[in-house]
Amino acid sequence: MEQAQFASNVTVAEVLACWPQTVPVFARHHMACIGCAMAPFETLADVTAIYGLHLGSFVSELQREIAAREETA
Amino acid sequence: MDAAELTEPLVRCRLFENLSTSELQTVLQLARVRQVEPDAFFFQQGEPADVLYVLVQGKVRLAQVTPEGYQVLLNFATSGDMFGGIAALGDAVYPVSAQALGHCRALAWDGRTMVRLMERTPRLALNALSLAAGRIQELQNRFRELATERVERRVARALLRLVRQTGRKVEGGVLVDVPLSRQDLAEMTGTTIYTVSRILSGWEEQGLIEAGRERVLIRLPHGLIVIAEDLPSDAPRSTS
Repeated sequence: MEQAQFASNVTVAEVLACWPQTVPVFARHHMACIGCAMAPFETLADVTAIYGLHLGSFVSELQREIAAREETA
Repeated sequence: MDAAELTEPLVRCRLFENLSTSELQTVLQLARVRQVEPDAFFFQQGEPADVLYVLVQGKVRLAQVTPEGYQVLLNFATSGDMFGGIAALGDAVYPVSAQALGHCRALAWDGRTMVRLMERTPRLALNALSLAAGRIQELQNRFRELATERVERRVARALLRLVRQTGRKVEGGVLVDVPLSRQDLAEMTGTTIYTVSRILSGWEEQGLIEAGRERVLIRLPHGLIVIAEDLPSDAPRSTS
């Protein structure tokens, strides 16, 4: 799937549930997403816009974190 | 109503978490189904607490009347939630009234039956303990909010609690899917209806929410988080 399409379909809650190893990425950017009541309703595209982050580089950052942890696992 | 329709909320209810299939079956066999018409009560505050419920369909409003006669909304129960749990704890009266919002259906157990089930199924007793602990924690948080936080933040947090419980993604935002009046919000946050109205109007002007007569649509979810969590608000709030 196209990265942009993926980002506007997947919610933050889904990302955090599927790949808990991405928690530090959200924390690094001082995002309030972890444990947030709105996380099931906001997509990756929504939150990067809210926090003024570049969508592409944020998604790459998530992917790097996921890949890194999968290698060590 | 078929068995699956009853089992499904049972499985989702945290009281029955990690019970085996046969244990769940026993629990279900000992349950009665109780239907309550819109606006009627499952039980009233002060009545002997002898039945414990798990809601299968509808929504239930849990409220308490103060000695001064004010009604205070404490919580809503939705499908899969337990209420009247005090029935399992021996001689007690219900501390709240439970009123049906719309047509409701619930599974019901006598307190005595539930105690026997707990004696036989330690997992069930532990789950009850963990639910009670969670409830105490939530009340502690609410107490702290009441004692220390400004009203606007309390109202934002009350809305977020309702989002967590009943929020639904709709066109244009997140809908709090319970019939919620300004009086209800005032009761939940320990303030007056006038203050709640002022806060909601302010939020409406900022485009944060749309407050209908008995519904709240949160148009900018993150804006509400900024208020509830006291986040720095320099980041743009809008997503579109």
